[in-house]
Amino acid sequence: MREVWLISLDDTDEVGYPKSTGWLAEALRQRLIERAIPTRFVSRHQLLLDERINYTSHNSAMTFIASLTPHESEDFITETEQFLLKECAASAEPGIALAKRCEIREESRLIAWGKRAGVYLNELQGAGRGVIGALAGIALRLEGNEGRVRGKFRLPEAGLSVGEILERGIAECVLDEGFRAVDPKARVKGGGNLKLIVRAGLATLLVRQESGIWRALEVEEARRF
Amino acid sequence: MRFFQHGIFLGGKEDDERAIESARECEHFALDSDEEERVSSEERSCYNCLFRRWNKESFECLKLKPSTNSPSL
Repeated sequence: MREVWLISLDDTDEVGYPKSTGWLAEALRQRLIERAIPTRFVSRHQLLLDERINYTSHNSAMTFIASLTPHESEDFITETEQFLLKECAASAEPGIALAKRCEIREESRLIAWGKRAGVYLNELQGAGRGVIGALAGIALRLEGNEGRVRGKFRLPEAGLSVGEILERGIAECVLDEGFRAVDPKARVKGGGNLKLIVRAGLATLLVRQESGIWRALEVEEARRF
Repeated sequence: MRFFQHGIFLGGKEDDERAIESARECEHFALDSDEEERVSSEERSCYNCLFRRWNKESFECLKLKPSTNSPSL
């Protein structure tokens, strides 16, 4: 039987290192996809930017969801650890956090409870400060109203209806800027690169109505949500 | 025009024009290899540089820390 897991990574890089934490998270997810294991998008969660915190350049954690059998989950934890030790930067202090969704007992107190909340944490290298951000990444993904979905995309020039956007799996939800649902028949246009945000746990496309026409928010516009 | 003071970008997080102009003059500029972390649609912008470190108000250029600050920037 498959169970839903949250997997989060942080602090895998160093200044000037070409493989970002997001890249590593996506690479791990792709390994699961190649084995036909169900996964959901990688989300980027902005953590506190404060001089008291020792971060590299962005201080963001990357989190994704996978449905794993007990056997797959055991193998995947080992695989993740080996992969990160091989791919992370020499001076990084990578941390991972993995939590089985159904076993998280104190969701609202997840960060404070840390390991006691049922989350697998491992400080892989150095002081392993990355576990702090990784744990926060799990909590933020669970809460479901913060973060951006990794990846950009474009809509066809003629646009698509909200219903088509959902049916084609481009987004899991389409909302206006006030986070209100948009009529499934409404046609949405979008000229530039588009970005999904995380809202109510769903990969959400934000749209704006201008002169009666719905337009998807572009990357720069979606950044403020 | 002065862009940095003690390695901190003076334009904050939303001065695309200055971030682009500054990157144009910079010999250290390197595009962030993770497209996801690029925040300006103009590639050669300090906002997209591998060597910027975001803080609450702006970013710090890790190539222009006080000891190596270039007067030309």
